[in-house]
Formats: sequence, structure tokens, C-alpha cells
Amino acid sequence: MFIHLFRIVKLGFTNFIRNGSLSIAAILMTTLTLLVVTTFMIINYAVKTTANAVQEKIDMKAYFLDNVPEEDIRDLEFKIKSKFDVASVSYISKQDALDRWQTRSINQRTKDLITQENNPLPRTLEIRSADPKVLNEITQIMQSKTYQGKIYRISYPENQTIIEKMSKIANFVELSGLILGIIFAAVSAIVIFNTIRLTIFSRKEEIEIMELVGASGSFVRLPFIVEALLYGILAVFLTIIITFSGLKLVQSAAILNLDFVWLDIKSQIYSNFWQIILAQIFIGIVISIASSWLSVKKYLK
Amino acid sequence: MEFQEVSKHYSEIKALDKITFGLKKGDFVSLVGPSGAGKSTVIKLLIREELPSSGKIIVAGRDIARFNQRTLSLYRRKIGVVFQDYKLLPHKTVYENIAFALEVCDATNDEITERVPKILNLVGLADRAQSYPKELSGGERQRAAIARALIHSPKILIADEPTGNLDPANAKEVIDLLMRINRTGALVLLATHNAQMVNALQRRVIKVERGKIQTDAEKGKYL
Ligand SMILES: Nc1ncnc2c1ncn2[C@@H]1O[C@H](COP(=O)(O)OP(=O)(O)O)[C@@H](O)[C@H]1O
Ligand SMILES: [Mg+2]
Repeated sequence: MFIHLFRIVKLGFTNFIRNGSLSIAAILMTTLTLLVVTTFMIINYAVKTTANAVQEKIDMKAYFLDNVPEEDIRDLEFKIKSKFDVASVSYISKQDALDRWQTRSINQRTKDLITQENNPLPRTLEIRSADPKVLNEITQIMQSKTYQGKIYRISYPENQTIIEKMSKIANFVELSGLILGIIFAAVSAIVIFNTIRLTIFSRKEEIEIMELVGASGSFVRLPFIVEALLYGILAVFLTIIITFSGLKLVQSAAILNLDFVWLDIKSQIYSNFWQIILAQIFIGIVISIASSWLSVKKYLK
Repeated sequence: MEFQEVSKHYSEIKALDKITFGLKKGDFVSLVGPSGAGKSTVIKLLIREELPSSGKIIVAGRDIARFNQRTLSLYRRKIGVVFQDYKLLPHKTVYENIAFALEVCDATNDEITERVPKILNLVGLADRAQSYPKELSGGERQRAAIARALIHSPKILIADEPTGNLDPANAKEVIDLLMRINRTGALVLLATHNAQMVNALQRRVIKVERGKIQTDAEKGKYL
């Protein structure tokens, strides 16, 4: 039994090597499919991670106009602290804001635009809470008549919109990835199907001889499946190599543009390393086995 | 093993026309007749390379047309065939071609490495083991085909013009080999148009002409 299986695999390998250029198209097409699927998986992780990162770092900021007396702001701070379940409320004075400005990693000339004498930075209340409902209620109070003309901007609703947008993007990415993935999978299945068909036709005589000397059905058919499986496995290998060297390539650009979020994305991708690879292996194997099986069934009576 | 009123038509051509005969275990039967008589067709039908247009071929009490795939491949493994056109696998060496017939029967690697060189020696092809069929002469291909047919010690040996490409000395050797196989109990069916050879055998001769059996005689002669 084992020797039988071993010989089938050997025949599959020999066929594969003999098929040369014909197999390359099948391998490349399958690789392309796997790359499409992988890319969408990674983009999806990235968007979701970014959304989570934003969600977690969410704190609410209310910016006060300069003409509002400090007591009013302190009043509000006290009110929020006593009435709502918040983790912290902190008052950022103009001086605090300036200090923060000075520690930011921006160039000196920009820094120098703001000085003690000429400080347009607003006073701010920073509110943190684990509960978005609480933040919503606070937002409503701040948007009420009492504070009109005092607060010129509340960051929370803006952040909310960003998060909503991002989850919409994530859904879109998921859906289009699925559709494109299916299309590409179908195309590579057709390519493998035809490769095996051509192989069967070009070996008609050999297959006949094998059958005449008593080769069993599995001995004649399974090598073709093995051959297709090799396409799939090679495609998976290629995809893994391309995926992870691709990630290395975009790494530096990603650090510059995505800042801290990139580290989250990266750890998300690497912690889902096996999920990505298993998906690639699964898709590669299913496509190659299913399409070659159909081809063998159809063209090897 | 019996042919019962078997006919084979290729569109208009009647290759075989209602032929009936039986073969028994241990027989050595020569199937003779001029070229185009239908000898190869008998063999093709016997190994179910082709199906009869009408009539039945019964082996061990069963109609071979009704064998399923599994039974058919097991049946073919019990038969060794030297095809008139050799039917060697072009992408395998002589060694691999012969080993393949054993691999198909699920022989172990040890059996293969033991038996293949022996049979190559027997047919005088030891030094061509690593050649591909296209690098061989007609006679060498014929001997490779004979080696493949013999390698798994078949119960039934069918040889279609196995001496067609051999010089008389080599032909004599092949016939002697067939006789030896026959003495071990195997049924041998030899299709040939070489009269001298058949006459020397003094065994059963079935003579076909234009798809019909002309004579079927024990200790027959091919006149
Ligand atoms: N595949 C085929 N298609 C059409 N005619 C065939 C085919 N095979 C054999 N024939 C014909 O059948 C007849 C018997 O052929 P064959 O059995 O090969 O003769 P033999 O082996 O005795 O020389 C011949 O007339 C031949 O032309
Ligand atoms: Mg013939």
C-alpha cells in the first residue's frame, strides 16, 4: 500500500518535471490567486487593527475659546468628574499645551512659531472613559446651549466618524477581497484544468500502454492529481516568499506613514502568520486537487 | 479461455468474422496466417484493448467484456504481452520500462532490483538497460518488449510476431524461451507468419485467413 502510494507520487513528480513550461503557467496563475487573497487578508487586518487602535486611544477633547474664564472650565471639569463614570478628566492650560508642543517631534522652525507671548493653543479638557456611551452623553452636554460660544471644537464626534468610516472600509475590503478571490480562484482552476487536460492528451498513448500492462485506475489517474498538487504547493511557497518579502519592503514606508499603528498592524499580521499561511495552503490545495480531479474525470474515461 | 462466435468490424472491414476456439491451461498455440488475416485483432480482443463487435470472450467462466476496471487490470497483470509494435514507454529507459510492469503489480523494490537485471541478461540487453526505446534497434526493442512481458512470470503469455525483427539465431532463442515458459505451466499464444518456425514446433496451430479460422490442428503445420 505504502509502496503503491510512493510510486504514484514518484510518477506525479516525473510528470511534473517533464511538463516544464506548461506547468509554469498553472503555478503562476495559482500564485497570483493566492497573492490576491493574501493581500486582501493583510489589508483587512491593517484596517481593522487601525480602527481598534483608534478606538482604544479614543479620548475626548474639548477645546475652549480664549475668552472663557478658567473657573467655567474648572466647573465643567468638576461636574464631569462627579457625575460621570470616567477614568480621568484633565485640564490642559495654555502653558501645558505649549510644553507639549515643544516636546513634539517636529522641526525647530515650526516649533518656534508658537511662543509664550504668541500662543494660540487652546485650553483643553481631556476626558478618558472606557464607555463610549458616557462620552456620548458628555458630548451632548457640551453641545448644549450652556456651552455655545465657549467650546469651539469637540474631538469625540470626529473620531467616531473616522471609526465608522474605517469599519465601512473594512467591510468593503472584505467583500471585494472575497469577490476578487473567487474570480481569481476560478481562473486558476480553469488554467490547471486545462494544463492537466493537455497533459492527458499528450500522454494518451502512454496512458494506454500503462493500462495494457495492468496499471490500476489509481496508478494511471492519481499521478495527474499529484502533479496538480505540486503546482498548488509550489504556488503556496512562492506566495509565502513574496508576501513576507513584500511586507519587509513596505515596512520602512509603513513606519513613516502609519507611525505607532504600524507596529500594531505588524504584530497583528505576524500573530496571524499561521492563519495566513494555512489559508494559502488550503486554497492552493483545494484549487489544484478539485480542478485536476475534474479534468481527469472528464478526459480519462 | 474461449472465443464464442467473435466478430470484429472496423467500419466496413471485417477483421474477424465469427471465430470460435478455445485455449487451455498449459497449451502452446501458434496463431498463423498472412499479414492482415486478423491475428493481432485476436490478441487485442483477448486483452480487451478492443471490444468485440459481436460474440463473447470467456475467461475462467466470465465474459471479459463485463470486467470492471479493477478486475480488468488484475486480469491484464496475469498476462504478459509482447506487442507487435512493442508499446514501450518512450520516456522510460529499458530498465524502467521493465521495472514498471513489476511496479504495477505492487512488487517490492527488492524484487525489482533482483529480477530486472536477470531478465535483461536473459534477453541479452544488460548493456542497454539505461537506453531509451528510441535509441534501440528494432531487434533490441523487441527483446525489451519480451523482457517486459516475462518479468512478472505471467500465467498467460501472448506474443505478436515476437521474432519479426530478429535474425534466425535470435528468433530461435526467443522461441526456445517461449517453450521454456510453457513448460513451467503457462499458456503461450504465439502469433506469427513464420512457417518454418511453426512447423518445427510440432504443437497446436490455428490458421486464420481473412478473419476466419481455416484450420485448427493439434501438432499442426503451417502450409
Ligand atoms: N484500428 C483499425 N482500424 C481499421 N482497420 C483495422 C484496425 N486494426 C486492424 N484493422 C484491419 O483489420 C484487419 C486485420 O488486421 P490484423 O489483426 O492487424 O492482422 P494481422 O495481425 O494478422 O496482420 C486488417 O485488414 C487491418 O487493416
Ligand atoms: Mg499483426
